[in-house]
Amino acid sequence: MSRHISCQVNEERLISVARGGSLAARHSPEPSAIEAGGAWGRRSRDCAKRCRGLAGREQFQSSFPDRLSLHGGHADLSCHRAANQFCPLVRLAYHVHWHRHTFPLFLAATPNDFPPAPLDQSLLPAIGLILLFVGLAGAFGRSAVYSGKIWGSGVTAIALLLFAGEIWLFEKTRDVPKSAGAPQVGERLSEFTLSDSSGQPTSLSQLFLASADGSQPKAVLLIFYRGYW
Amino acid sequence: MDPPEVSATLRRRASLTFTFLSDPNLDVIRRYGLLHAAAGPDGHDISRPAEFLIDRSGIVRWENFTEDVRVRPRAQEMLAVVRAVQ
Repeated sequence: MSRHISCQVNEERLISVARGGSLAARHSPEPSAIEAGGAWGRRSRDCAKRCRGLAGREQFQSSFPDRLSLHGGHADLSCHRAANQFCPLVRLAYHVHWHRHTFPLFLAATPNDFPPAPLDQSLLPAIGLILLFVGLAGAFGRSAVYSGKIWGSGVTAIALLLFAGEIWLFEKTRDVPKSAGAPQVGERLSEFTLSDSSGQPTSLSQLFLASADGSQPKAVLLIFYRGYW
Repeated sequence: MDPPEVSATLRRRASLTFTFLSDPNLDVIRRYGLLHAAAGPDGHDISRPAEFLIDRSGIVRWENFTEDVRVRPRAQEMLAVVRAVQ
């Protein structure tokens, strides 16, 4: 697969670069033919550098004829991407590098001990989705640059799967009963007796007994564990 | 909910010194309204996460019912509540 990038130059400097299509190079005055090794040759090499710089790390080859024929005062300078020399993993790494901004940001927003702010749970995933589809639009709309129709679609599918998994996890972890019948602050907790880790029956009152060092606890913290993650 | 021997193993491995109590039949969990039906990995009933601070007279001085099982009160928060108990 080849990619065509054209450069517009004049005798003085590189004017502009366009991806796809072609632009005519305008030169003034207008000689009938120019040797590539002369001034046009230098401009051609500048064009190649520009192409490589714009395309990132993709390898480009510049095709410069030995002679550039001017037709009606115009010449085409083109940079063509070489045949794909990168293995699929390198190409994936390339697309990850260039499309890193499209990965959902919510993957990095994990809750800590405190209740998560609404910002973490709604705004960041929304931003991530927007950036994801911006990247996908770029992959399809500017495929000549990003060549990401296949890879972009694959990465988008993976990101959407991860997003769906995060939504499922979000709903699952918040599926907790209200416990309206639980003891409230100010109420007296009813007595109970359960077995401790050594199998001995232990009542709530016994938890207030003096410990081994003689100190008597002024309060007891009861923690009910869920039992599993 | 775990039997005493499971709690004993956990206590030993994690070098924990506080008291573990087992409620395998979910009696106390149900009485305190903390049952989370069919939420266990095999579809069995478990307890929802909850914390109570009880003073010597048995009165609830502080409690916490999380709405997200990934979110629990910090130790500093609970210690601050304990220090506030007269």
